[in-house]
Amino acid sequence: MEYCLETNGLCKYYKGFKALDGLSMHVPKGAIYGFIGKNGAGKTTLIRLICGLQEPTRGSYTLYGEKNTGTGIYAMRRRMGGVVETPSIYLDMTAEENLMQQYRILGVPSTDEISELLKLVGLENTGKKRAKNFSLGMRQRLGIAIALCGSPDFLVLDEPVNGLDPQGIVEMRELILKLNREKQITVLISSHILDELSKLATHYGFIDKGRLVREMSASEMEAECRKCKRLTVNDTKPLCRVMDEMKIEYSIVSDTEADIYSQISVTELTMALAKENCEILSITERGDSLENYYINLVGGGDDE
Amino acid sequence: MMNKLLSAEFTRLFKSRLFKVCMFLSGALGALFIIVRWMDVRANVTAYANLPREYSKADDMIFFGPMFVVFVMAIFTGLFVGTEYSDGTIRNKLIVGHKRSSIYISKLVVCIVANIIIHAICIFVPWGLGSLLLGVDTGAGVLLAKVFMLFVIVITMTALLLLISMLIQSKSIGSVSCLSFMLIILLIAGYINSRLDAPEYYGGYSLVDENGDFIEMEQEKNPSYLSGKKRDIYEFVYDVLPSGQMFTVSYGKPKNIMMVYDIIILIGATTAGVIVFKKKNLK
Repeated sequence: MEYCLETNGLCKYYKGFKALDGLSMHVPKGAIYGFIGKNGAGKTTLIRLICGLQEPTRGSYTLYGEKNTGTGIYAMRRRMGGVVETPSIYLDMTAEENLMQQYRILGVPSTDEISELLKLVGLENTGKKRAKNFSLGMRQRLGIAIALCGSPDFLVLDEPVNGLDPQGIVEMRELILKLNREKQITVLISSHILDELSKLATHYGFIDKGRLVREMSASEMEAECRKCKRLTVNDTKPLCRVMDEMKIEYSIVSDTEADIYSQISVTELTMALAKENCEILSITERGDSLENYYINLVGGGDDE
Repeated sequence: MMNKLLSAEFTRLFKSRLFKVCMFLSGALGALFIIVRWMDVRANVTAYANLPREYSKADDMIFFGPMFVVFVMAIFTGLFVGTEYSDGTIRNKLIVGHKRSSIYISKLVVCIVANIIIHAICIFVPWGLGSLLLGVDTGAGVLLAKVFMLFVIVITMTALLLLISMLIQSKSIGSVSCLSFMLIILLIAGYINSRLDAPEYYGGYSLVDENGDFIEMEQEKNPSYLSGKKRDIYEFVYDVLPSGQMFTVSYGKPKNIMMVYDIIILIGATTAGVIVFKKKNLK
C-alpha cells in the first residue's frame, strides 16, 4: 500500500511531559484517516509535527516518501494544506483577500480558483465583510478554503467541526467527502465527534497517551463493531454444516465459537443443531458503536 | 521561495490599516513641531530677532521627530509581527513548506521598509514644511547624510524589535516588550548623554559683594565628570546603542564607526533570531 504519511516511533517531549511516545502510524493515499483520542492524547501534537510547526524530539516521519529531516520535505509540504486547532486567517481581511494572500504565499499567479473555492465552502456571498465579523463556522470554512489553496493532495484537519452547528457539521462532512471522492485528496482528520467521524473515515487510528493503540481500516472496524450473536458450541463443524444449509451469514472465531450476522430463529437453529449432536453452550449479543469501541480500547478515564 | 513571501508580506503591509495610521502619526508629529515653532516665531518676532538665527529656523526640528517616532516603530513592529501569531497565519506559511529562515528574513525586510517609510515621512514632512515656513540653512547634502545614518539606525532597531516580536508568541506581550525595550534604550542613552555632557568644572562666575566689588569665583571640579577609561566606556556604549546614535544624529554629527556597530548588531540580532525561531515550538 502506498502511504501519504508514515510516522516511525515519533516522540515529542515538553519539559519532561511525553506528548508523543513512539507513535507509528500509516495514512494510505486517498484515505480519510480518522484520528481519535482523548484530550491530551497527542493528536494536535502529531498534527503540529507533521505540519512543521514543531520538531520531533525523537523518531521521524515521511511525507510522500520524503523524510522530515531531508531537504525534500519542503517541496512535499507544498502538496499539503492544513487547519491546526483554530483557522489561520487574517481577521482584518475579507474571505477573498485571505485566499489571495494564501495564493501569494504559495506563489500561484492565477487566482481563478478563488471564486470556486469560496463557493465550495459556501462563502461566496460574504463580499466585503471582514473575517473578524464572521461566525465561528464561517471562519472554520474559510480556514479550510485557505488550506485548499494550491490544490493540495493531502489535507490535515484538526477538529474541523468544533463549534459548528448541526447544519454546519453536515456541510463540512459533505465537503470533506466531496474533496476526497472528486479530487482524490487524502484527509487526516482528528475529531472528538466519533459518530460524525464514522460517517467519513476509511481508516482509523486510535491514540492514547502519545501512542497509537490501534490502526485499522473502516471495513475492519465495521467487522469488529458489527452487530452479531456469538454462539459458543461444543464443536463448530456441525454448526457450519447447519448454518450453510440454513443460509445464515456467519464467521468462525474459534473451534467452539462463531459469530452470526443474520437474523435467526434461535429455536429453529437449536433444533437443527440438536439433530447433529451439537450443543449450544451460550448465545451472547455482540457489536458496538465506534464510541463504545473506542472507550473499550482506550478505557473511559478522565478527559483532561 | 523568499519572493513569494515578500510579495505576500508587502501586499499585507500596504493594505494594513496599522501601517497607514503609523505613517499618518509620523507625518503629523513631524509637521506639528514645525507648525508650533512657526507659530511661536510669528507670535514673538522681537524675541526671536534677538536670538541667534538658528532658533527661528527649521534645521533642528527636522531630526526631532524620530526621537518620538521610534515608539511608533516599536508598536508597529510588535503588532505587525504579533498579528501573525495571534491570527495563526504564520502556520499557513510553514504548512506549505516555507523555511523558517525565509519567513524570518522576509519579515525583517518588510519591517525595515515599513519603518524606513515611517521615518522618512517624519523627516521629509518637516523638512519640506520647514523650508516653506521657516527656512532651512543646513545644506541638503549634510541633511541627506544624516538621513542616511538615521535609516541605518532604523534598520538596526528594526532587527532588534523583530527579534523580540518573533520570540514572543503573544501579540500584546510582544508589543509591550518592544515598547518597553525602546523606552529603556532611550532612557539609557539619555542618561549617558547627560553624563557625557556634564561640564568638567563648575563655577567660573562672578559675584558682587556688599561693597559693590566683583569677586571672581574659582572653578570647582565636577565630581561626577566622566574621565579616563570610564568616559571611554560611556562613549563606546553611547555610540553602540542605536538610541545613542539617534541622539547623535539629532543633535550632533554622526560618526562613521556607528555604522560598523550597526552592521554588527544587525547581523548578530538576525542570526540569533533565525536560530531561536528555527527551534521554536509554534502552536
